[in-house]
Amino acid sequence: MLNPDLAEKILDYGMSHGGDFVEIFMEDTRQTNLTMLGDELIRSSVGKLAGIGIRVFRNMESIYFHTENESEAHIFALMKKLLNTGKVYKRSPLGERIDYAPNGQVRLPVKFGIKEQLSLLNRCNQAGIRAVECIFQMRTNYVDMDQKVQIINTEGVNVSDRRIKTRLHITAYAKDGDMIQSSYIGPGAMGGFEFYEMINAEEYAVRVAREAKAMLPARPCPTGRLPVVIANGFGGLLFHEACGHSLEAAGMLDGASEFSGRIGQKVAPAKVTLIDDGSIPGEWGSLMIDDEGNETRKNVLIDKGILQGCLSDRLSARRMGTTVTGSGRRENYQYPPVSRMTNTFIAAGDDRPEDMIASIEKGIYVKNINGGSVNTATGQFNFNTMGTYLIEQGEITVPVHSATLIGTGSEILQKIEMVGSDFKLGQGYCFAGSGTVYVGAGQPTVKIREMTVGGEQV
Amino acid sequence: MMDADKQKELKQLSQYLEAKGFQEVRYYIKRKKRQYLNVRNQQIYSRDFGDETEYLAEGQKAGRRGYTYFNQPFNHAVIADRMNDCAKSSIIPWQERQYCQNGDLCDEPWEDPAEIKAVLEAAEKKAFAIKETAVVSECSYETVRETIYLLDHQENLLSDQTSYSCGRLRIVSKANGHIETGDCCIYGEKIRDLNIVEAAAKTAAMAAEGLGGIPVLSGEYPILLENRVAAEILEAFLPVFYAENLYDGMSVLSGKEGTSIGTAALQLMEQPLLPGGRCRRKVDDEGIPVQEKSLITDGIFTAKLYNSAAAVKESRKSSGNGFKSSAAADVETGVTNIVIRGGEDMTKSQEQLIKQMGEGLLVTGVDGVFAGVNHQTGDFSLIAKGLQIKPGKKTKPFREVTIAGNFIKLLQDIEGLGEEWAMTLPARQCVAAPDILMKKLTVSGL
Repeated sequence: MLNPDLAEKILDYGMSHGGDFVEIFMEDTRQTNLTMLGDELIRSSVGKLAGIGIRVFRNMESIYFHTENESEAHIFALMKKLLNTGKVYKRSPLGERIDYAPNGQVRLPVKFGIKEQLSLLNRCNQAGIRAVECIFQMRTNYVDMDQKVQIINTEGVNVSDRRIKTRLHITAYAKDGDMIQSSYIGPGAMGGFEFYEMINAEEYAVRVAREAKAMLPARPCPTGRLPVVIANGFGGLLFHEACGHSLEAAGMLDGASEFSGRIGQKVAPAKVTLIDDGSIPGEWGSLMIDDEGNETRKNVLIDKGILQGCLSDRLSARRMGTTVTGSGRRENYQYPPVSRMTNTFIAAGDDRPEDMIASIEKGIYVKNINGGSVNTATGQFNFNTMGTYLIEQGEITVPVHSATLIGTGSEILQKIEMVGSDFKLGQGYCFAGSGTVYVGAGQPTVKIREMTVGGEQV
Repeated sequence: MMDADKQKELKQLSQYLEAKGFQEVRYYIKRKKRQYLNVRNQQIYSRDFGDETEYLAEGQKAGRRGYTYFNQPFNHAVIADRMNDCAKSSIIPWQERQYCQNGDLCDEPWEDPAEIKAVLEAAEKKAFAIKETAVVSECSYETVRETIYLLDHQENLLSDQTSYSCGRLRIVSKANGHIETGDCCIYGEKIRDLNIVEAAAKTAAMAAEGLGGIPVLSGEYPILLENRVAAEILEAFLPVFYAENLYDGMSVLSGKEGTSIGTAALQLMEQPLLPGGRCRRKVDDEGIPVQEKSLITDGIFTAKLYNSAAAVKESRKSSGNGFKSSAAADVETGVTNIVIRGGEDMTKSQEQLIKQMGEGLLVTGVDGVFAGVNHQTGDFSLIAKGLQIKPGKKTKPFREVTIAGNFIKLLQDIEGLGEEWAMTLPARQCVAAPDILMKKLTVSGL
């Protein structure tokens, strides 16, 4: 924790040298990251980083610097270099510190040696290889993180949080002659090692092994505009890419997003509700407070088709004249925070997945996705599918190669025809301006009337 | 050279670790300094400054590797505990290292922010001189200096450094209800070398030129990949040359060493000291010299890339391609600067390549390379935009299509290369490529 006297001095210096807002972000993070290929440990990173990031606003300008050297002399040498003159502003007194903490059930990963974690990975890999004969390789990655942060600012905020996270990423590779197919799953949680007592990791490994095998007869994917059904779960990353990023305030300034100036307008059919909620207990993408010290919350971005608002961090809120939404996030103290998503999902509807498939003469069924990206100004997004099947005459028939699905966010929203009742949330990462952050993405099964499918068969 | 106080701190840590039973304690140290300035609406919008040093300590205990990363070396007990845990559980054996010569280090002062601001303001003004420019959402300049040190138990110190400065632009154009963006990233030593003002004019014009684009009909088209696009696709496929992927059939090039994978005149080289290259290194992150090498020679796949661990598996020496994304990360396979070249008769201006193509598509932007390429099959499918070519001239813009193909087919189908080169966006490695004219790719649109 930061010495309160030093914190007061930093805030005072910033406010008496042109800053009208000063924020201190202090962090101490222990992390383990292990990858096993079969029974061989191929990547291993174990350690701890700590440091401080100081942010100063001068009207609409942001100045940020960070260092691992937390000594007063070093911090003030940097501050004097970057802030040497300017108006004097008043600040709020520092409030009494509020400490957020994980619940008492958490089994801290640090209490377990990496021997236990390696054993978990090996069990997963062996389970996949044993269960399905054409699996020639299994690769499993384990991550845990114990991040302690303290956030102090000139508006009186003084909070601390401890974030414990863990996740597995299991990939199975199946082979038949020259054909290689893979499948993955990435279960994770806001919590500790108890997570692995709640799930059966080996069953997950067997499941992805079977899914990889099922893709071996895949044939070329057709191209063109086709109806698409995306299965429940991490397929929700489609909406993370297609709409979520375009609704982050930092990208909406000056009309730079396709959704700029459209709040209050109908942007989707009434059956579509899009939510970002960082406060879901135990979820991988959740946080008690964001990286600016605000409590996370449920932000309804689109309510029954009507655009309600965007995700806003402190600086974007200042620049846009709006309020913060508990969405200021960063990978670590080396980045200033910007508005980012947490757990983003399409809420459940009441359509049946089997009716969606039955309604399609020729189309694509997508079980999972590899990842994607978006141009927030034009709204053009792309995402690459995994576990892709052809729908013919109302039935899922044969597997096809992965394809890239594209469109624009506003167009895709309007083309959502059916929203299922089988909601599920998946876990992954988002890579953007303030580094890599853990996110949830989810949806029930969704039918989209038409998308451009970038396959290889014309 | 390395700060004397830091060396003293590490010496104390080594003594502590030796007392705890570790032998041959050694360190990998990475210092990264960065200055970033972004201008918007003729004002400084954001300014970031970073200077961080991260360490990885390794020591041998009973033939096993104990290791941990940190950035505050004074916390001896925590560091020793983590190293002990790893040494007890690790199945990674200890590997000897031999250090070579030092690279060149420099520590020039940062450029004057007032000068940077003035140039960026002029660039922003220039972008707004194009009437369709609606927003300049990025007009920035960044300087990054990364220095690595390898320090062993006998106090041998090896160091190397890479640095770059880069101007970035993102311009949003609007007209008649249409929106398009133009992006640019240029490198140089100093802001005055970059000619970012001219780049702003070109980028704004490019964004305006793309307005009103619509998808083309699905089909197979001759394709001219603009240099930046060609570099981005090549960079995405670099892992297919890594021995660790080739070893187990996880690369489309597995089993193809010594065979033809590209058009006869094609050369793909690693040039660690490429003039103007973004990743100029003399040694890799394992202390091994990075040598110039030819991955593809006259169309033949001639060199696999090895770090030390991959080399041990094949009982050979590392090719000097062991790189780390950070001090914390394990050594992976990586490269410095990769360049693609063809025969003189293949090299032409963009105008000549367009004429040669006759009808087809000039691809000026792709997205989705992060997920849209498959290293095992070589297949790729990416969202693309650009200009239609007919007959031999740039005509209407297109967008919202995918281009799909296969990496080996792409290399075999090269029919011409451009004269001007572009480098990929800042990352651990750098690919420099000219425009690439190819026979055809599958396009999915209307």
